[in-house]
Amino acid sequence: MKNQGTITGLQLGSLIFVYVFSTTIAFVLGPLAKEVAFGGVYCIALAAAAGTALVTLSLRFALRRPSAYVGVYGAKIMGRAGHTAILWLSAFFFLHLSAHILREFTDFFVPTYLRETPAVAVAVLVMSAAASMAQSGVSVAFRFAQGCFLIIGLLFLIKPLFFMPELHTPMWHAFIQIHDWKSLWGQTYSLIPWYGELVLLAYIVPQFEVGQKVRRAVWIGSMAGTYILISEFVLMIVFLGPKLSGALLYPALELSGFLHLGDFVHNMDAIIVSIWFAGLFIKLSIIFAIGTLLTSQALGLRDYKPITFSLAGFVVALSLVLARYPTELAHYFDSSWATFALFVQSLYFLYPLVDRLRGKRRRAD
Amino acid sequence: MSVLVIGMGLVLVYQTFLLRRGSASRRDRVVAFAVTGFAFAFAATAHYVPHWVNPNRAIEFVFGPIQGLIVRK
Repeated sequence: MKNQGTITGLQLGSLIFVYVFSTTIAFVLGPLAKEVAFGGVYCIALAAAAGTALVTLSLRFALRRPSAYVGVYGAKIMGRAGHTAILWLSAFFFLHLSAHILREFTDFFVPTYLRETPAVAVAVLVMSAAASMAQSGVSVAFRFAQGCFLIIGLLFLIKPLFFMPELHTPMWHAFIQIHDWKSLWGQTYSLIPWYGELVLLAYIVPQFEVGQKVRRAVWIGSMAGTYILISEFVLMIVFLGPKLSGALLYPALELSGFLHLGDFVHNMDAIIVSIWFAGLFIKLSIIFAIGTLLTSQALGLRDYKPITFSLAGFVVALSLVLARYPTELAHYFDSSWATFALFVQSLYFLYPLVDRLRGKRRRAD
Repeated sequence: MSVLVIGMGLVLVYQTFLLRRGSASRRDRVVAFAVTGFAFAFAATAHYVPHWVNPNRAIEFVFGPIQGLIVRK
């Protein structure tokens, strides 16, 4: 891949902002409300801090060589076998994550808006678009995020204004008490890898424009996205209550159903879902692009583009077999995904660790 | 299955075009076609015996017990 170096700080921050809340807002807030109720606010805040710290730590090493890909020079640090193993595991992780996001989207969208449409047709359509974006280059996803983030962010920023009358409730007292420390820890642990996925940025450092304050952009984007998440979660709990929020499959969508715009728009959820889909699409595209890039680097290919659509087909097939039904998918996700994700995300830190140990040995010699 | 064959056929045609345009080496061509072959084989297996190719079962088998220790419910 050519070192283009065109991603600006604003593009980086925009993508991270959208990335952080796009899938979490739809698929995680419900289970979070069910497990920890009011304590979900602390889970999100703690996971955001820990996950973002993990990402900036990974960028610290990658930014030491801003014009080289870790996927290429990593072999000199880890040795060919170790480096290839890390690349394959990471590539599989990101492709598996793409399949998971695609599956969650089809499980939500098809029964709600496209009944009697085969899920495979929707998956192929969405993945074709994501693969086309990946084909155009990683920086295209960042530019798309820069174009979209204002609309997406503005929508979720003004959404609480529609619920102002409902915010006068004695429920606020429950937010300052922590009821269950065990559940709080469990849900925080499950949320950290959602932020840790941004370790993908360390694999594309040469794409960033020279002189950008990358780590600052990461923190700003992450905290802005976390603010949207927390405000949506609080709104959901205050308006629907913790029990109903936990019982509903997509509580954020149910919340949108109560929004009206004068007499001509009785239900804004179609508008909100359309705009939200742009955020999900950005996340899906960048994850798939990174998965494709790492696969091409593991295979020693000069260019990742010839294998993009083949891997898109693989991701579509994978999304269909991940589970027989949504509850089985949720079970797999809750029981093991967080540990698997943290394991793969922390594999990256073997590079700086081994590099440091080898440096010490060289100095000793 | 026919849709899969047609779809992968289209992918193969486009891949051939890209490899020719990029003047890819013989090794790169072989690897790229092998990836398409793998994707086709995976999709075909997923169509007939989906439980054979579900990686979530392996992930749960390896990481489920570890997560159970870390997050005790």
